[in-house]
Amino acid sequence: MNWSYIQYLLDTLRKVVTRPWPEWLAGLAFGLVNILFFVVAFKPFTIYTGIYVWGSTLKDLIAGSGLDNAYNVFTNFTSVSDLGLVAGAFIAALLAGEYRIRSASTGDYLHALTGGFIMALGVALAWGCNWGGFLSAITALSLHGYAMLPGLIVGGFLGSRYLEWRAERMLRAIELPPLEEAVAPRPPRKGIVSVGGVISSLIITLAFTGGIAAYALGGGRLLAVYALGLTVGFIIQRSRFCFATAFRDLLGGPEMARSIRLQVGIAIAMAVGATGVALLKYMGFVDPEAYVKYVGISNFLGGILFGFGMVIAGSCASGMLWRIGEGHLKALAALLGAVLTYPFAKDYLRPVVLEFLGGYKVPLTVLGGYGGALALVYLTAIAWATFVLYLAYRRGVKIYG
Amino acid sequence: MVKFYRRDDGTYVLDVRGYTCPYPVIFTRKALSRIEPGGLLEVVIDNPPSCETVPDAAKSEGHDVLGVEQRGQGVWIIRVRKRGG
Repeated sequence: MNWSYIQYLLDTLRKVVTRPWPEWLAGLAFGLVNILFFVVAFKPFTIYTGIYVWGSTLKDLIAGSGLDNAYNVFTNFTSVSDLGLVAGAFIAALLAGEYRIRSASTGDYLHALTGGFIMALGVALAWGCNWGGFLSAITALSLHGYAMLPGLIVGGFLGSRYLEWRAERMLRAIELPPLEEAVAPRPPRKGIVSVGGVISSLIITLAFTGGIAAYALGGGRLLAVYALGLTVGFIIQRSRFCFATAFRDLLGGPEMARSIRLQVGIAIAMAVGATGVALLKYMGFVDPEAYVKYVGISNFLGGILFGFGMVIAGSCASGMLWRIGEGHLKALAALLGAVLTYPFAKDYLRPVVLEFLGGYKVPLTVLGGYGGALALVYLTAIAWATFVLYLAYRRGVKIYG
Repeated sequence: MVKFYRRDDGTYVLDVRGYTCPYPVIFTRKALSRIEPGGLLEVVIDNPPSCETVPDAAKSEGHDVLGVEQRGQGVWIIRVRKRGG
């Protein structure tokens, strides 16, 4: 073997894993993952059922009522892929030299906790987060994905206004230019950082153990599910595929260019994913009704809540799992808010809302079968990409530098 | 809490460690608007996406990004010279 060639290969590989990946490539990959997820798990890639399992386990542990849900942590498809996501993001962050236990201010922890709480309410109303309620819903050919989108736009915009206001207030409190002594760094609160660091490390360890446990309890199928979660985690960390940014700065904001690139990635994911899922459903490999959920005004309201919540929390559902893998303790606070809220929101709030606001299960195939459904998704993806690019054009934002 | 101060050598330092998107960008923009033209600003971040978004935001406003440098695991310093001056 030529040693210098091996060196060259390793060097190239190192560059690939340390540089950020483009959002459109991530979108393409997420579309493919959604198809593969249907093949192994008969459902699209989603996040919140895992949060439900984790929250229920916590509830059981506190109430001392059995370990059924603890078993589900390692056997439920979504929970297993969520664990994989954390592990994948951790590996990516570590390879890129980006892993670090990061603390935040008390105010930020409180925002994350509140954001997690609001997100969980939004998921209950919209039948999913921006995966299960929007992107994966559309790729699964269910109309409920369409209903959440306008809500996400409104919620993201409201969140961005709030953040701008908060940042303004925080910076105004600082006198410029003070003497360096006057702003001597406050000693970090070692207590919170080390307790958070231990919890964070435990969760990352659990995420890796999850792969082994899933294989032991569920064999190859569950291991494949875990591997898909791991893949999403790796790609999401490398491409910084943040739905919170995508909707926060869509209408003009501090990171509008990235937001538009992310939205183009989402449009690509939609088109690619739907193509495969339509084929799987058409061939009878998957139940045509699989992942077709209720659609009504509640999806729109849920979108507003979720959009606002994720911006306040600083990360959406997949975002908080990825950032836990990266070492952000703030993401841990968001997860805590979501985990404590979602089991109750899903079990008690969702049925009541469905009762009052109503809803119907509408597959996209009602408009001329699978051909019609696919045509609709393609048109949506093209229209959406065109629309977001127009937003960028109107503001003179060059999305690729 | 975000820290913003001037070092003895005249360089301004904006320390936004612990903040995730979009705060590093918002704080950088506001800090740049408060220093004199030609002034040098060092932004200290620990949020990986900000390695791209902070320079992008500074460039889009016509400032000069002098470089992004990693300082240990998961911490970066971005140097920006304010336009004019």
